[in-house]
Amino acid sequence: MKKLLEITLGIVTSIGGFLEVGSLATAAQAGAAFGFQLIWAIVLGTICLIFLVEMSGRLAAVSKRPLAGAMRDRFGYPFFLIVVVTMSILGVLVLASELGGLSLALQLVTGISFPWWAPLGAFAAWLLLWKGTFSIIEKGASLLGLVTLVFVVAALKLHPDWARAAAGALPSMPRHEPLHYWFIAVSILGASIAPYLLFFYSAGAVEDGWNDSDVPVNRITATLGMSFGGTLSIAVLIVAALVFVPRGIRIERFDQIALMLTPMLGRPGFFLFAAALGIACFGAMLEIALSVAYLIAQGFGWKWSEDARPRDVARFSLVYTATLVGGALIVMIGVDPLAITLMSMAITGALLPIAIVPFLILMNDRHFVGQYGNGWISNGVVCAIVALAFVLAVVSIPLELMGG
Amino acid sequence: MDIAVVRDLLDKQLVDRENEPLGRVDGIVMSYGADDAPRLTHFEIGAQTLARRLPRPFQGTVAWLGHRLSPRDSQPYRLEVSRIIHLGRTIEIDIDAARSAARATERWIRDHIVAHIPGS
Repeated sequence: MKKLLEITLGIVTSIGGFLEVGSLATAAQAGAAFGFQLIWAIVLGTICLIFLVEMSGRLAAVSKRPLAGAMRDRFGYPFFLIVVVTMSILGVLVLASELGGLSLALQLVTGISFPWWAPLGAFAAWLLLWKGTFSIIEKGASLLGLVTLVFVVAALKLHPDWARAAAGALPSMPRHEPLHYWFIAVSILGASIAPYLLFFYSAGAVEDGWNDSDVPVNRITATLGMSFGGTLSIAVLIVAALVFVPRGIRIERFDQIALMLTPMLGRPGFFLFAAALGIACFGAMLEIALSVAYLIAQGFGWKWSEDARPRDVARFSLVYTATLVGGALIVMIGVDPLAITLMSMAITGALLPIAIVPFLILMNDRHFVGQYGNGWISNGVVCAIVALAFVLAVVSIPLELMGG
Repeated sequence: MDIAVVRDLLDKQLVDRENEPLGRVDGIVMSYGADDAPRLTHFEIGAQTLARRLPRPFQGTVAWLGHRLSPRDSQPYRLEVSRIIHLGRTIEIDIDAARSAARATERWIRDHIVAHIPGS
């Protein structure tokens, strides 16, 4: 009975925590520009994420080490420094995207321009990290995040042609604008396969004291939770396709995306969108700021814990504070939030191998995972999808920059 | 028991007798004993040690950064290998982290920055 409750809670947490500004913006762009054609990118990204999240939980349960700590243990300091530097910079960039999303949600509701909301949003997130505990942050943010289910409701109300949607789940060549097509595809992959999520998840598992007996539960929650989460992204894409394509709207700004629920739900749809965007982004900000702090503190052997008082984990608290400040500064200088979101998701795609290749090596090392090592299916699937994201990113980012 | 220096010691998590983290084994020091045989004597923790492990072009920058960010004198902190209590996933050392110089930076940040912020 307790296990069942644990599984349910785990799944609810993953659904509520899945959608953030990256997956929302990329799925909406994809739907508006290419109809159902890019559903396959969400499917591939979600499959890859299921495997990776399951692995990071398994690593923590079996080796009792969080991902960042295990990486330094196994690969030593010079290589670990590359991971720390790239993933921290990426973390600040993605955090800026989320804060941009939260600020825009507040702009939609109040009419006050988004850069003004950035310091306030960052401060609210900081306050929760400073005073809250891990379980408040994880469960609270995720339960509120269930408001993102509104996209599934909207998609069902539109009665999409399911056969065409299913056809979109199979990869196909673009019929127009090939460069933009591949750029959006890699942004979707980068948005789904978020490396920060892996550092966050494994640190949480260590903090909760998981052991070998948690391996099966972890497998079920990762699979179901991430699948339902991926469904949310697909719902966003379907709604965007059915709302924007017939009206010939090309998405260039966030306030255009904000109107996607209005045709079905009217004025409340507008506010539900703002609430979903704001809550999803706020939850993601907390996770990203913590992930950067976990990564650095675990890698350098400092004391870390979200449940401890800040004065007892001084360096750890200082790192998440600095990460939030860095993200806030980027938003405050007024960089276009949609542009920074799409670009940081694509860059994530390009940098994935730096985090994922060593992770796979760890998951095949008996010193760390003993008899719980990876099978060939999980190795193969993750390698193939990460390689695809990397190749697409390296080819499409320079072209998009030159073209855009 | 065989111990592989790089696999089992270098970069591993150091903890005190209460399992409180001290840092990681950033470097390993060997010296010649009375019988002229080299012996592994100390672990080092510190930015200067970490800087020396990088390719030459990066050493200067990291050492400078470590020096600027470090509130105390930036000599690496040394722990005697003879005080190892247990070797496993972590390396347990017979000292008290709260009073050890290994945590000087942590304490400095706590006393000079974090403690001044309300709610800490």
